[in-house]
Amino acid sequence: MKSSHLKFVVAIILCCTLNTLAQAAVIPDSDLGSSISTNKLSTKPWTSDQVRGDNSTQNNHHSGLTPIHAHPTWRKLLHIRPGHAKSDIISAEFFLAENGNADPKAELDATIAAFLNETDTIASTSPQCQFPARYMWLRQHVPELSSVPNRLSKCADYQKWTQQNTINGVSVMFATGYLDNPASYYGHTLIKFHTPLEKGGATLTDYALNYGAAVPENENPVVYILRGLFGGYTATYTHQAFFQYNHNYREHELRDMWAYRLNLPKDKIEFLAAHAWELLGKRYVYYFAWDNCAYRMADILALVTEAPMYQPRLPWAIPIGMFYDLMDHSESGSPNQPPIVSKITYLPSRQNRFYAKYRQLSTKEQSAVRELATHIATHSTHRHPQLTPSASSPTRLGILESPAYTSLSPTEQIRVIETLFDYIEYLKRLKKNKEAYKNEKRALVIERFRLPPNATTWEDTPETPPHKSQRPTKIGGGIISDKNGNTQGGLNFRIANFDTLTPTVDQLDDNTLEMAGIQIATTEKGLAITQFDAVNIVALNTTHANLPGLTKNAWKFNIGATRETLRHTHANVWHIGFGYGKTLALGNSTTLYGLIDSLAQTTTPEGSIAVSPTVGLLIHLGPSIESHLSHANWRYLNGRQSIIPHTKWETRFLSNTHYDIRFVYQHQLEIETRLGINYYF
Amino acid sequence: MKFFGKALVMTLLVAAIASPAMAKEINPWKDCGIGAMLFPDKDDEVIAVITNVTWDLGTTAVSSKVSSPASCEGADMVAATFINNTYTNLVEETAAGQGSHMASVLSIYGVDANAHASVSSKIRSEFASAVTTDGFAQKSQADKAYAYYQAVNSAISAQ
Repeated sequence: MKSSHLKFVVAIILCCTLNTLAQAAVIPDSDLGSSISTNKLSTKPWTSDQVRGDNSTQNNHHSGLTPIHAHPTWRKLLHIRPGHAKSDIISAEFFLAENGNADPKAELDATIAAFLNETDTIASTSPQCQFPARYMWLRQHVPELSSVPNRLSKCADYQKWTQQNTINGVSVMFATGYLDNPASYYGHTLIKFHTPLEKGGATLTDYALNYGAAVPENENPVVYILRGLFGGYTATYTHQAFFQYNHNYREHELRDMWAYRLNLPKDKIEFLAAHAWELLGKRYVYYFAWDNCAYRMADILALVTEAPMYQPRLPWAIPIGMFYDLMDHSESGSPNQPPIVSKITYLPSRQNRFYAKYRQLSTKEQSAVRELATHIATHSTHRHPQLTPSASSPTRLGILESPAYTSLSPTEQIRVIETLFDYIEYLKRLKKNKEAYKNEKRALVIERFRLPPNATTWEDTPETPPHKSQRPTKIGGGIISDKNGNTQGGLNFRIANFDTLTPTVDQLDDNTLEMAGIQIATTEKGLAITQFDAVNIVALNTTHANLPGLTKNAWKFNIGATRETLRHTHANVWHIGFGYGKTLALGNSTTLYGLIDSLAQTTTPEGSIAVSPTVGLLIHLGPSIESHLSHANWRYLNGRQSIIPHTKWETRFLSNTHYDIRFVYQHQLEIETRLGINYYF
Repeated sequence: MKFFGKALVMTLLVAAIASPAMAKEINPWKDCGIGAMLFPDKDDEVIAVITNVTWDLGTTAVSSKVSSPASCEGADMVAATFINNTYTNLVEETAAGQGSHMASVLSIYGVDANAHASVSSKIRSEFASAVTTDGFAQKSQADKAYAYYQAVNSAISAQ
């Protein structure tokens, strides 16, 4: 198991067994509630009246019924949460007053004094250059500051950040989950600042804001987990040109991205960009479960959207949750208020760009791609004569003279070549070798140069945006029956995130990622825990194109407590399991997989180890019906030394983002059926 | 004497301005350290950040690799950085004739959107010649990116 996986597993065990999320105690529910009540959803332009809140205070920032220093916006600018006494920011340089992190009034006085005393000699350390958002807000709030000249145009670094004050839009970006890195299972968020350059399609050069913890290289995995969970790292906002993130996520990690463009007026956009500038490089204490990228992005967005994006119903924050809330509020706005989100753009990964193109090819074109791909994918191990230069040209590979390719029209050839561009790059990523297939790629590039430009167009693939996926946290109930017709009640709960039958909308389709799942049954003696999944991961890695080299190995890992067999009434053994195998897509709606499974259990009087060949079949029968059948033959290598078959068939019906109905049939020495309804939130 | 003094100063100034060193075209890869800005191969790296990777290539490069800030700033430097880091996409799009990465390069240089098609066509023509030359395949990634950068500059100059 990779060290990154080990880190993650330890983290989950800690989360579950200690039953604590470090920050839950720091953020009382009442604080979150208070935060919501002060945030009225508004998409109107940000005005001085709005920020004042109370006109009686505008002439007196030192006293009054609602002093400015207590205004929610001022507290947000200082990152002091409602009900908290101190700022979340631990960088002393963020505060102008000595105790500014804990005294918003002192910080207000110091900030106003700094702006009033500022001279025309502007440097990067000048108050306006350091705190442009404070200046923008206070200028409208404190009359004395109205006479202070706006010197922001002289702040060279700040002007660079705002691209000479040309930022004209903001998007919240979502990068889908990434199973190769446990820390990225739940996806990631960025904020992107648009500039008018995009009119030429140049959104790639815009700046994007990121939030992440600073972890020393070669950190011990256990230390990494403990410090990550319990506040042992500092974190900060950083920025890069968007193309850097674009490359990392879409090209390198093969993750889709989504851009949710916000419907904000220019003054709010400027205000957000100015505040982001103030935060760059400032340090926070990082908590993996709560005070993470999702929370921090929602935190600064709330400065301008005033929508409650803190996920207050949950004591943890995951990136997708922010988009649920964002869209919930956007879609529930009053008729007079435009939605917060004006546009959603899909940015497919290299992998999904390949699949999208391949699906658009004709049968003839697909055959040509398959033939060329077969030669390309096998060249590294088997030198193939068709990969040597052709007789007609030293730079033209022989495969490009095969009848399957030469019989195509130029337009068809272009579609084949452009699909193979994506195929090769995808293949390189799967093999984790960026130097692979250089000659083949060059030959394809030269071939594409030979053909006419702009001769084909690819249709955008309609994809369901992530906020329309089923929600991650589950609570459900139902009826459990045995073969004799005896029935029990059943309850289940799962913190996150999805299972094999969940209708997900990204590349994690067909996979399972469950944390802290628990199943409870009613018995004659009361309630009994029948299963506890601390962590349950199944990565089938289904490939949706039958081309060589694209198959990723499937694997699974789980740890928790379970019934030794279905004859047991409660979870009586702890277990840890690992499986490894292959997956095969049979068309677009059926997936077959096979794994070599292993299991270690705390059975009595001695522990037991078992292995099994496991086969499974996933069938999509329609948008609302999906079925998963699996069979294992567990051979116990010690202890009981017997073979116990286990068959499970689970079907999901009538699902939407919040509900589904599940029917489960299991046979493991005993037959058990379960019918239940689940609510997801 | 005064005249000779002034003449000497003027001569030296003109010589300095027109010196080969100053007139030499900047190669951002060699002169500004862009070659060190290639994306690291993350497969061999310890994940540096819990939530996600947040290496800051641009900042690092600008702060530690740029030897001559006066000549290594502006559109050329931005374009060179962009080309260096997105070379694979640029080549594919250039061969195809269009794409968002190509459009980005042209926008960095301030090429009007209406002229993108004609400049893109010139870049395509220039770079197609470069790719097919002997020895191109053996060039380093940085040298290939520089060849693309030259094709862009040549196409924009010819506009």
